[in-house]
Amino acid sequence: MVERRTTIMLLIIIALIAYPLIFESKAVSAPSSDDQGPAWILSTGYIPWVHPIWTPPNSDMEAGLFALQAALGAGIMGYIFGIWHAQARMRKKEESKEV
Amino acid sequence: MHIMEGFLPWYWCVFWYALAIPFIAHGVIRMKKITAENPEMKPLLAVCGAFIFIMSSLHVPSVTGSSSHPTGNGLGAVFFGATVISAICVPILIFQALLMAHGGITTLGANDFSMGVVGPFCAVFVWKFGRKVGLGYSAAIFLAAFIGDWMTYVTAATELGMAFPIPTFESAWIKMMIIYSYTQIPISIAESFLTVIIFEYIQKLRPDLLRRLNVIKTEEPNNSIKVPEVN
Repeated sequence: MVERRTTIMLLIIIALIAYPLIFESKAVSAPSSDDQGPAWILSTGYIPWVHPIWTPPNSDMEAGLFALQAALGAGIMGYIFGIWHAQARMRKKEESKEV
Repeated sequence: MHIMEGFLPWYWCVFWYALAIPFIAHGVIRMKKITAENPEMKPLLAVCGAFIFIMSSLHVPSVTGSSSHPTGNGLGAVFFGATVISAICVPILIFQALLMAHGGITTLGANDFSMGVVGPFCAVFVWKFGRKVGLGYSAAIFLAAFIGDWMTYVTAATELGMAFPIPTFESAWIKMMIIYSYTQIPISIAESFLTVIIFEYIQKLRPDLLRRLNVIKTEEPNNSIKVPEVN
């Protein structure tokens, strides 16, 4: 039951992400909301008083850094879930031995 | 919601830092207390931090024709309390500001206030309210994650509307709300479903930790959760 529910939830997530990729191609090429906000601020005549110390030289490197960030997070979660999963299985095994 | 470096006048940077710092300080103290009293909570804390780390790195296209990123702040807020997320968000926001020019050090206070303070506090409120009115764990965490994410963007829109009330605060706020909050709705829904999946997985593997944090009750098992099979 839980697997079916999880599958349905995963399908909804995929649909929510895939729909704009397939049917709203401008969502991929259009500036993100994080870019649109600053663009509007600049249009008011505001000049930023400080700039980033370092910016990725190109969009590929920026995407790579974001991927690295996601990979680091996923690695931590995967490692901990792996340990917990193994512990749960061991507990279950010990319980079944006792019975 | 990452307000970029230099995109807030200096006095607003000071203002948002002043508002965020007490929450961050409380979060650090609370985190130290939790890990000192219950060292076995450290992995759960790491999972919550890693979840925010992953979520805030993903640029997700939205059906509204733009793209944005989830925040992942609801899960940890429900587990450990809102201020712990205020503290956890600081290194994440610094990482993104320094390595990706996404956000900024001058705008760190404002970004932490939206992602680490308002979002998590709203998530905790919705979780508690949802549980009080009898919602199940999954429904309550879904709503908490949705509100936590969405309110982060509402706060970012408000911060920018306050800093640039051109021609008026209302019109600037509506403009920012359209840019940030409207785009965020489908992304928040996707994040909420993912949060439910992660919550249920943690509930399956380590219900003892969630019981100790008073997130779940002993006498109210979630019947849809199965213990992992033994091979």
